[in-house]
Amino acid sequence: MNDDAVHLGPDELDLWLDGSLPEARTSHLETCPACQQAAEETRDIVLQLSTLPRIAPERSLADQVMARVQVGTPAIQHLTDEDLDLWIEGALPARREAHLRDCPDCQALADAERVLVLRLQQVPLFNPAPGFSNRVMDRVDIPVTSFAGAWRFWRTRVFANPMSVAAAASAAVVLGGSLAASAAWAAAHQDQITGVGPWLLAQGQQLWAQGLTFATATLEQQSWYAPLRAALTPGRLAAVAATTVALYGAGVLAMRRLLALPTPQVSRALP
Amino acid sequence: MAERSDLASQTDQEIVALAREGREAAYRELIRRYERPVFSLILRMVRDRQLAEDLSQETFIKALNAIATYRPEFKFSSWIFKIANNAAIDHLRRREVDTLSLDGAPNATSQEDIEATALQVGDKGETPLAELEARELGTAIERAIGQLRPEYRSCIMLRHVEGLAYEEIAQLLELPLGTVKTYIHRARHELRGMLAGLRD
Repeated sequence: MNDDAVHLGPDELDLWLDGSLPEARTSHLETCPACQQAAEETRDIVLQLSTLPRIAPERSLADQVMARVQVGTPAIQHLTDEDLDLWIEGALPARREAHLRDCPDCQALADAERVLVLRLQQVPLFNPAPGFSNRVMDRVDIPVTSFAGAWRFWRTRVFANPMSVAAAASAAVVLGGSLAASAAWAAAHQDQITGVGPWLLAQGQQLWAQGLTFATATLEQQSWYAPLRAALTPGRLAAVAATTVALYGAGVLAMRRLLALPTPQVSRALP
Repeated sequence: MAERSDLASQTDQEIVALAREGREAAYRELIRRYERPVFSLILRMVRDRQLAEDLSQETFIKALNAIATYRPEFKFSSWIFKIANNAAIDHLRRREVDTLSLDGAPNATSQEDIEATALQVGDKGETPLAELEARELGTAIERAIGQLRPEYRSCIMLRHVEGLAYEEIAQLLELPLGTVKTYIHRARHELRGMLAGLRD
């Protein structure tokens, strides 16, 4: 639709009054008698409105308004719990202090609060039954980082109990007696002790050789040994080894998945 | 004895460092410093002397056996009060005993049990009249504290008996700061009401 055929709207008339109507629309205005008449009427109205006289009220409007507004003292802000905290700590702001001085209700509240806090601060501390410290220490595991710590362990865990002392003494006697008897026997049988080492070594070598010979001979006598040996070519042996390794690896991975701890999300989803 | 007097002048953090090195005297010093505050807090929470004794022991054993996990950037007092409060609250949740008793444990049946488990208040060497008044006042305030809800009770004790800051209590009890303030304000309001008839 051609803009030249459209008459000016109210917004465009405002633009024309401001002198900011676009050129295309101005050309329409210049050629359209209807729009020219509307523009002239609008300008006349605006001119008339702008020349209206100002009428002063008989009384000051402010006086009339204020006569109907109830001007009173601001709402009383009594001390809040937070204010009482500050007051107890001696940190109440001066403005609130001023209110406290003038307000009997807040004074009574603050006095009651102060008395209460003083009473709470004066409640006695109670003593646990005698020996409390020892009873606790008997069940505390102090890290043994020094000789003193080790001594404490023996003193509190072993020597404190007659049964423990008896057991420890028995163990010490048995161990000490065994050690002494061993030392005495060794001193009296030096020759035997020096000959024991080579004899044990020779015996071991002989047993190992006999065992190996027996195992080989037994294996060769088995009926399945010869066909198995013929079937196991180096290539097949390698294939079997590779398969075994692969199966083992897969098994380990599967076990890891099965034994993994559930994530938090999974844990929440569990019944 | 000399070691103990040395320890007495050191800070909690220094004592804890010595305890971590395995010094028995350091452990004993920590117990000496906090046995009365911890026992008093728990006793006022559970209102049963024997039970408070057991829970206090548990508190110290738990704290001292875990001394290696204590983080020195926090106050030791806050840490041990937290453990103590948790022990008391856990017990109250299990037993739902919350408003007893200056007259002995709830399960005390004989006169001997009642006397053994009752709170002992008053008697500070004052004149008989003053002692009577102090005893009455002490009894009244202990009764009033005992009638508070357990969460109010622990907050008010930590704030006004132990002198902890609101922020410390919030951290210790793992509650929002606003909640702690509300608990303490309501507790004080209730206590004022309960103690209104007493002397100033």
